[in-house]
Amino acid sequence: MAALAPFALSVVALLAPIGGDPPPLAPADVARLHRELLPTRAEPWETIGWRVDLLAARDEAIRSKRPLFLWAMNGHPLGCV
Amino acid sequence: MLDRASSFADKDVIELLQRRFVPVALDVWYEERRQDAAGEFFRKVVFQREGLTPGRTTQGFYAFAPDGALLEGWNHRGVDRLKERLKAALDEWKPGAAAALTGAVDSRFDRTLPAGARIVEVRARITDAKWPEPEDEFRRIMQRATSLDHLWLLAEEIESLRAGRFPPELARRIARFHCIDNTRGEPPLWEPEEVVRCEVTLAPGTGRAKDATVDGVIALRSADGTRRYDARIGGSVEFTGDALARFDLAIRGTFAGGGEYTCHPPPGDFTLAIVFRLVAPAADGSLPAASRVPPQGARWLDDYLGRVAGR
Repeated sequence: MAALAPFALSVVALLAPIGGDPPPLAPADVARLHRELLPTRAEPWETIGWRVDLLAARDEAIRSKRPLFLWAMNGHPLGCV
Repeated sequence: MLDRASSFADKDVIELLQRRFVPVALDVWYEERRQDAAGEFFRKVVFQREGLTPGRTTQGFYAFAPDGALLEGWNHRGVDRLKERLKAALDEWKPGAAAALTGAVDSRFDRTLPAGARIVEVRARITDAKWPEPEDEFRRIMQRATSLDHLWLLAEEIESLRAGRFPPELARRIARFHCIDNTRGEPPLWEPEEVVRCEVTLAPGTGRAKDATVDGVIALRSADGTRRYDARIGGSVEFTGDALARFDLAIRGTFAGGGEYTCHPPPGDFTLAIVFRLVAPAADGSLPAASRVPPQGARWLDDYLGRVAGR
């Protein structure tokens, strides 16, 4: 039982409400977060020209006589994490 | 995100992929399951990889011919290895014939944007945390990572916003599927019963909103007590005529805990910020490829769209 006590305390701590609501986001806060988190121009990986349809990419590879390169992840590589 | 910021930011890799390959990016969750020509072709390609057997993850990198013949396949990070493998694949490559692949799409895994819906770019970052000193460059990148996902705004929800009301279905979708720490990997989402509070309003609350202000509180607690998020949502929504012109929202709050694939969170409480912005089409009406990737939560499409009774 004693061994469980730290775990039980940590669960209780996570469930406990935090005092009061978080403060409202003023328009300047929202604008600042947008500036900090949103890219202002295409990131390098975006310039590669990724296709997201396997069969359409295959058709293009046949036409252009090029091999395909596949980046496969659990969670889409272009938009999960 | 790690690969986007490392391997696929290398100028030699970018040039090789742009000029010598047709580059494709896919979520294996869909490709492993779909019973149609695309799924069969995917499985034909990936299971040629040495050591890969059914039941093991098909995540990785593959260079292959249009007939499905694998040239190179691997699942290890590192830009030098990536360059070596790409060059080896080009050495092996010989153009040849390949038959057309046709047939009905497996509708269970079709994620076409619903009619009249809009796509919103969603980015998240840990903005304040007591991080330990990073062990290596990958860990350093992860500590500063900004994630990318997409939110779908449905036609009826846009209409509701235009009428001056923030739809509760949209607020719950944001809470359950987008209030997540996806900065280090695929995150656990929130179950309906884990939404403790979700109160989002649009001011002025009545009448037709041309430029309205969003404010609200979101509180989430995982059932097992290991994760929580207490956050404030704010921002503005603007219409030009009947068209939604701006959906600039932000969420900021205190997060704690991690998940199976989002391990190594900062110790204790940390600040997680999330921002939302409409994806703007190009002049020809086309959308960037990444924005056509469905929301991560749309794997469970009916749940994501609020079509499951009681959820």
